[in-house]
Amino acid sequence: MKNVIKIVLLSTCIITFNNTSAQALDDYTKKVMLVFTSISNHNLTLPIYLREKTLMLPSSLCSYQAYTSALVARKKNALFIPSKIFNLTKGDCSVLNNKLLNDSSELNLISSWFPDASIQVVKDSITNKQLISGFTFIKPIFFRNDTRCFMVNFDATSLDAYFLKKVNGYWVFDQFYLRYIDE
Amino acid sequence: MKKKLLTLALAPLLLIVLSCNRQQNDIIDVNNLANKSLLVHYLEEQKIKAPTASTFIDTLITNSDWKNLSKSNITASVQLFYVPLKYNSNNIGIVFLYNINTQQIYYSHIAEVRVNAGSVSTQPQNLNNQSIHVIADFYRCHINDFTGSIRAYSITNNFLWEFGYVHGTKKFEKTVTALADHQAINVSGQIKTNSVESNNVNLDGCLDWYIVTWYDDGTSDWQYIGTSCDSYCLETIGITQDSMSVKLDCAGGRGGGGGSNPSINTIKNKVKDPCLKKLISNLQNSNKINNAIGKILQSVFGVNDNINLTFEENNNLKNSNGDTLNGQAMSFGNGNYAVILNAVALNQFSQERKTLTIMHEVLHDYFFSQYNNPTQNGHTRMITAYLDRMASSLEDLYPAMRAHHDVTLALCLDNLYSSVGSATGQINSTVFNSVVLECGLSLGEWGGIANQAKYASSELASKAPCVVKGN
Repeated sequence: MKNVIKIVLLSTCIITFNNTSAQALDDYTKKVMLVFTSISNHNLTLPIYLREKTLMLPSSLCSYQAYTSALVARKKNALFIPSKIFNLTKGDCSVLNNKLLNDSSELNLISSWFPDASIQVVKDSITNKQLISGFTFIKPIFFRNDTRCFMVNFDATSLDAYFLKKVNGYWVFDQFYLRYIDE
Repeated sequence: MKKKLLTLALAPLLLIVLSCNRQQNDIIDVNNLANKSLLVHYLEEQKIKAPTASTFIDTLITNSDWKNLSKSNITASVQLFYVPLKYNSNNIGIVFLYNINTQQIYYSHIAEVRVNAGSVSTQPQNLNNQSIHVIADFYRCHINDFTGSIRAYSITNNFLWEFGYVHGTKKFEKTVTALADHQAINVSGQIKTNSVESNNVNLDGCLDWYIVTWYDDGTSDWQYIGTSCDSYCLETIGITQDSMSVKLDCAGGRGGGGGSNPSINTIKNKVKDPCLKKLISNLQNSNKINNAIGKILQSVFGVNDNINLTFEENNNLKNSNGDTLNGQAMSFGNGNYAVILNAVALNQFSQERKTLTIMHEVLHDYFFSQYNNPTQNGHTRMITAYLDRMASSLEDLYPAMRAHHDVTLALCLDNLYSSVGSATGQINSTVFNSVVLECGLSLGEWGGIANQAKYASSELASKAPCVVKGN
């Protein structure tokens, strides 16, 4: 009987742990989903090209290493420093730099997360590059109690890095942080 | 018998000599009513376009020496008409560029050829005969052993430019530019400086106007011509029957350089390469009315402290794949922009092609400043909406290219060709090819046409003022 109770308790713990992990993932995913949904609803204007009014998303959002590597290749420092211009406090920079340096995970996007037909997740990575014109997205970084967000999308020849801010519960474009285009 | 043989032997030689002379002296007397009618009709049209210059254009028509109207072939599709003007000096005439394919005059100006002693004949009666040769050679980009200068005024009588030559090599270029009233340097008459920086700062609303002679050794002469406190009435120089005069131009369509509104200069030219530095300066000092890209540079980035543009040099500029880049445009947020140029990579190219790279990067920064959510990428926007402006702006800086418009267009296409591809920021090849055809060029030949002025050693490429010895 004791063994049965132990097994039930253990199973409950495992299920609870898994649910908590899933819930943690969902929180971040929900925030990401809200950003992309806002773009497709045209509530949020970003330097992202919509293909025939459809937002084509890759099957995964890259880790921050792709972004830092792109800047390192151009001999530019990717780390944030406190700035009045960009409204970045020391605490903000700590969160942002911690993610840039230590988070190497990617976020896989699943089609079912976006029931809206105006958002499509492209599975084939080769087609992906052609369909969304080769854009690579890094995972958005939410900071300052989820009131601000740092986003980057780039391709082989250009990069757009920018901040969003939350106003009345909605994400709106704040300002560009860095943009470049080769040649 | 010997005489006959000698005659037979010499005949082909004589034919060759005559043939060569004919090629060199291809000025055709075209005094006929049809040609005169064509040119007068064009001038009458200019009166409608610029009503305030109507009286002056009437004077031009009246004083034209139509009996000595002549024509010269510049390219297979461009002819130059020249009609002398019966002014005090007989080295002045009107130049018309005529496109054979469209059968239209597409450009004209008054030309004054000043021949320095020791070069070609300076006999007054021969000057106009020499003028047509010199001007035709200028538009062919082959000034042969000419020592003197060619000065151009618009049909509305505003100074456009002057190029000076010694034995066919360009030695100086004159433009009109402005400085803030009583700014920095105390100018009286002429000053000399080694600076190739341009500066349109105006603190009290008044601008001092100068004719600036930019020498190929990096020095420049500044000749004061007047002060203007009304941005709509700019002082320039015009031509009269007796002399050159300072005049007010309140009508727009003004020629010459400068033309900046009262402004705080927030453009920094940190490029070290003297050639690139000078080319940026030329664009910065270009006439805002004739030069669309120069206008963007001056009006968007040169206006206030909120938008700053810095030109920088990086001779190790590479993309993420390690490939060498000619240039890069950057935006650092908060209104700060940069154009980064690779002087080493650009070294092989002509001034014209280098200037296009500068314009290209300026346009990227302009697009950054104007569009948050572009419906098309910058390169595609450039080729579909800005190609003509790039071409006309280039011809504003290099007037001789007006006679080679196909080469100008091909150069602009060449400037964008490296951006053709399937990535986000690239031009779809179908779009590129359709623009090539719209330009009247063929897919197989446009590259060869561009090569006529692409490289420093190209036939139509201008050599000076990038041969900067000073600094």
